[in-house]
Amino acid sequence: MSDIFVQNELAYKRKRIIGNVVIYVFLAAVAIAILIPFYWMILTSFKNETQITQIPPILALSPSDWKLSNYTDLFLTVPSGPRVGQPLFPFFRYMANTVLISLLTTIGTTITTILSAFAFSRLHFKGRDTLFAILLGTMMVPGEIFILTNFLTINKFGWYNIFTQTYGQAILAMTIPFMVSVFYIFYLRQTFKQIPNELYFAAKVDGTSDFKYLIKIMVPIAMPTIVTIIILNSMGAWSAYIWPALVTANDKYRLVSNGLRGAFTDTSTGRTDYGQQMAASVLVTLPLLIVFFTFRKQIMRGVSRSGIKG
Amino acid sequence: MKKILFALLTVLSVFLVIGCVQVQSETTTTTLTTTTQLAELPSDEVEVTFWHIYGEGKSALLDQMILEFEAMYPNVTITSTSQSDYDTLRTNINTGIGVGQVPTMAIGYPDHFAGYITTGAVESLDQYIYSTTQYEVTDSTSTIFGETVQTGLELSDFVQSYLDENDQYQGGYFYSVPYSKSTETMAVNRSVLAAHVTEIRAAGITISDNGFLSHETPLSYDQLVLLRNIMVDTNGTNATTMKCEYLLNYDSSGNLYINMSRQWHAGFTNSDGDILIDNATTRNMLQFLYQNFTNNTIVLPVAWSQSYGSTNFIYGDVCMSVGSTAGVNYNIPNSTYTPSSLKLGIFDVDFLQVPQYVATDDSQFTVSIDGSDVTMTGSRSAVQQGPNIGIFHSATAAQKLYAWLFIKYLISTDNTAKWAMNTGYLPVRLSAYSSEEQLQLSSTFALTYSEFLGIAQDFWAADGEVTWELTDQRWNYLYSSMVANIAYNQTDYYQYDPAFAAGSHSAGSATARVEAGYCLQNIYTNVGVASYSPNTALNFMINQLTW
Amino acid sequence: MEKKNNLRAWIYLAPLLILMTVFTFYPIVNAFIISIYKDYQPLANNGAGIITGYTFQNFLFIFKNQLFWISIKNTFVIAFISVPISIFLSLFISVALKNIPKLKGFFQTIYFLPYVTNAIAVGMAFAFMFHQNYGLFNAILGWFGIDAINWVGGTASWTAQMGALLIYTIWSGLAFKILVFTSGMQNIDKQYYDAAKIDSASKWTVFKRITVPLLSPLILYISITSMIGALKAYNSVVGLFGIQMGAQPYSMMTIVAFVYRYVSGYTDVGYISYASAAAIILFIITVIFSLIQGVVSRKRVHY
Repeated sequence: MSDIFVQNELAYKRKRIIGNVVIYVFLAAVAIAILIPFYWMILTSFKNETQITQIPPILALSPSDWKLSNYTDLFLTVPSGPRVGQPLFPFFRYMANTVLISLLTTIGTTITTILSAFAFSRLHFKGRDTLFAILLGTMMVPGEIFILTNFLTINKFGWYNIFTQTYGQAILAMTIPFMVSVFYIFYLRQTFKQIPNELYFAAKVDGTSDFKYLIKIMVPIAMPTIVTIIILNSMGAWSAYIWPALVTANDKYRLVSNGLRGAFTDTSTGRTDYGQQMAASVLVTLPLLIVFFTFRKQIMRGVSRSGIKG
Repeated sequence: MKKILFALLTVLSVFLVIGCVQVQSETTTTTLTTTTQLAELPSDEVEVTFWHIYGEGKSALLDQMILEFEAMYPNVTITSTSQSDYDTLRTNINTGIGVGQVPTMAIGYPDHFAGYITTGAVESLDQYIYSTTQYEVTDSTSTIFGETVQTGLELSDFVQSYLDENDQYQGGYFYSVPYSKSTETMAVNRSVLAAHVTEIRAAGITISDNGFLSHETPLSYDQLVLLRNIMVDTNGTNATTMKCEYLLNYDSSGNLYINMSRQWHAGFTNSDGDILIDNATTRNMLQFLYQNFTNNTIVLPVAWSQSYGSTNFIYGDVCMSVGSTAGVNYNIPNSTYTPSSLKLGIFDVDFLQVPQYVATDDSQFTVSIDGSDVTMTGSRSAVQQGPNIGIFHSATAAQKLYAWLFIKYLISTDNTAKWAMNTGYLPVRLSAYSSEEQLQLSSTFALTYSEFLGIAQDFWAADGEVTWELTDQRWNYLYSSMVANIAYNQTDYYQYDPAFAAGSHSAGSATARVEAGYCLQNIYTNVGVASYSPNTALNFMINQLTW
Repeated sequence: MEKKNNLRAWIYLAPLLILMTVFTFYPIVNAFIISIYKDYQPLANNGAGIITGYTFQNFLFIFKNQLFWISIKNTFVIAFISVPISIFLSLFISVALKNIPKLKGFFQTIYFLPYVTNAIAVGMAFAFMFHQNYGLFNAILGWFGIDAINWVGGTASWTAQMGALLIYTIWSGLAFKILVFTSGMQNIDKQYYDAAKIDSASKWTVFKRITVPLLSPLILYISITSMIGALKAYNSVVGLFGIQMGAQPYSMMTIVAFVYRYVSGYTDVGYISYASAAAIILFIITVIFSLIQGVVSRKRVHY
């Protein structure tokens, strides 16, 4: 009798191991698919000009062939041109600007998102569904048509002046329009709606105000979602490009993506130095990766905090 | 109730903030913008803001010229800012016009200026060009103390087509002056030519023993066909027989279309903004190009999925390549390229004029299209490119005057020669060619412009067999000198591409140029949306440019 | 009681509404108004603008423009193919992640990478990977004995280009979806899974009967927002094909690229009106599809 039991258990274990192996192989394949473009990016950043346009493409370079000047050149001060007096790619300055913008917009967005998602999920008020539908509608409008009007608005506020714009004004121009995201409000609302009504009524019976309920109960429960929102929002500043280019009058106020595009193109010949551009891209990606790696445990813990217990 | 009030207030405020957009009976036409001439040179502190796009090298040269000018006029400060590229420059000026903040002066392409002019933002320069006013420099700290400064400009010293490009705008006024021009030239694989000298001579084409074709007379299309039969192997580049897979590459399909339309009198656009492409000659021209694409006579970089044909010229895939003078050095093969990619090894390069269909303007030529011979009237034509420089209307009279004097300084004979030699652009003045000014090319090498041109001339006269040392600096400037000579030889038939902003029912010149290039690309690849034939490609182009 | 709730709600919504009125509602209303301007020159008259009247001709311009119809076709294909595939794929991956004993964090970190990098750089890398003769994709196809495909070269067919674009789009979209689904799955009460284990339900049944329904609010969210995002595709095309929007000019043009083409020409007379008109058409399309999704999902989404 125990034989069969052991046999079953062995069969079960085998099935499980095979199942796991299959899953691991699948996940590994996906991981490789994800990693290859990055490998290519890094590889290109070490190539010289002729190697980059080479056909057949060079798939690997021995370290002795690495063109490190693609990286070191980025930090050399430029004697003249658009970035006179600054390094070719003002990494630290752009990074500082990007981090500041990211911080401010994330704080603002998180606050408005939490407050608004609460109102839409928990409070009953006249016109709630209509207003939510309108907000959803705004998500569906392509962003390109906002640009011109918002630029004129920023100018009317006095935050943009080609000759006299200050750093503070540039920061305002780059952050205030982006303190709201219907995208995230929708997301958080879905999560808030999953919190059972009973909890709310129980709190009400205890005499808790709405605000306290929001802060003390709803937010902790929805923390995985909120952490996700914070992570995703803070990364948005890294790829912001069109708007910062438009509203900053001085190159020193700009963000990392502005530095990447067009900076490595020789205007007279129209040719781009891809090696330098890739090197700059790698540099730009690195901090985010380092932060993500360092705080991976906390982020994953925040994301994996279990839901309502018992 | 509160909600309705709130909604109403929002809507109302929206209309208020939108501002008063004016309704007019028709779109604006430009009026001549002038300023009263100043009686004497302003002595108070004046700041002139100058926007350009130059990176390191050229920017340094510009800064040097600025310092010299500021020493001449100590009360003037020139603040030059690079906007990094033309699109950014144009966007910033346009937004500046919208919010009332533009620099005093800026460079720009004719298309850009056409746009600025429609808003009334550009100062017309006729008042300065034709002015007879003189000023005496009374500042004792100036390097030209006591001298008399002329305001006017000697137009006869300028290349005529450069001038025509700058006064093509409404009213025929000058809204800019030529600053930094370039053109297209043709790089050729001299080693392949040298390997087939006997056959080429047998075909009736003049060629030297070492493979030099004429630098004064451009190749005709018939000669190109002959060369194709000798030099092209459609199976692929062959190092043994010294043949290339394709004959002639054109880097810019837009320029190919436009230049050819002028050579064939096919019509393209005019300064009024009319789009003139819907005619039989154009359709013939496109069919003709299609034929040349299919038999490997003409090729576009898209054949190798590249933006420029220079890499494949170096690889030996194509024997000749038409490209901008600014990109000279990208056409020279050297040891940094992987030997296995260099199908024809490291070969010699020569530069020639762009091929033409006729030897004199307004004469007849015949080509075979779809099997039948077609005869038409044509002219010679070569493209002219590069930015001009202008002044904006909103600056003060003092700023505008000093900006004008600075422009005059930048395009003075010696400075335009200096700029050309250092940057690969071309001098805008004819007198630059005989300028006596020694220009420092490197710490140990100084030449006049005519000596610079002489480098290539000596090389050609010696049939390429010169006795220069390997360390002789002339080797470093040989190719730029060649290109400068060729560009000069084409001066007679430079034609400018009309510049105009979009109208209510037609696109602007910049869009027209882009679509022309796309039209040829569609014909070349012939597998695009709805599989473009020359006719459908043209119809698509018409659909995009007129409505 | 009702009134108090109303006021309180509006107070919570105040920051949102103020910011949105200035930076979202106003520009949208402006866009509608601009789309019926005739011969609009925004910069003339010292920035106040000049028009010669009002008209609906701008919409007619859009419909007569061949490029617009090319854009519609491409955008629809992108939206209706990439969205379902990437949702299935990311659900699958999220479930797989949930079921492995170790290395969860390792894989999650790798899968998050696409979100972190710059679109241009990655687009260029993909363009190399799709190279006809020496790219990775054709190499893999070669292992299965399939001939090399011309994906993004000058003479690539529309199908091959769209295939490459879809692969790239799905690749870039995975990171966000995996993150959302993974964190959503963490919220599902373990009780349900334990109960299923006792009933010895198969993995597939667990997926179909427990995971999906309990994730349904998030799936709906992802579905709607991904569809909206796909209908607004632009950066992915530029990343893969460059400013030409395709291996042949305009072959992979999308509606947003079409809008952008006229937005960037805003100084030309009437161009910004064309852009606004096209944007409004896109808006209407998006609203219709989102409504459809909302209605269809009503029965299937459980809160």
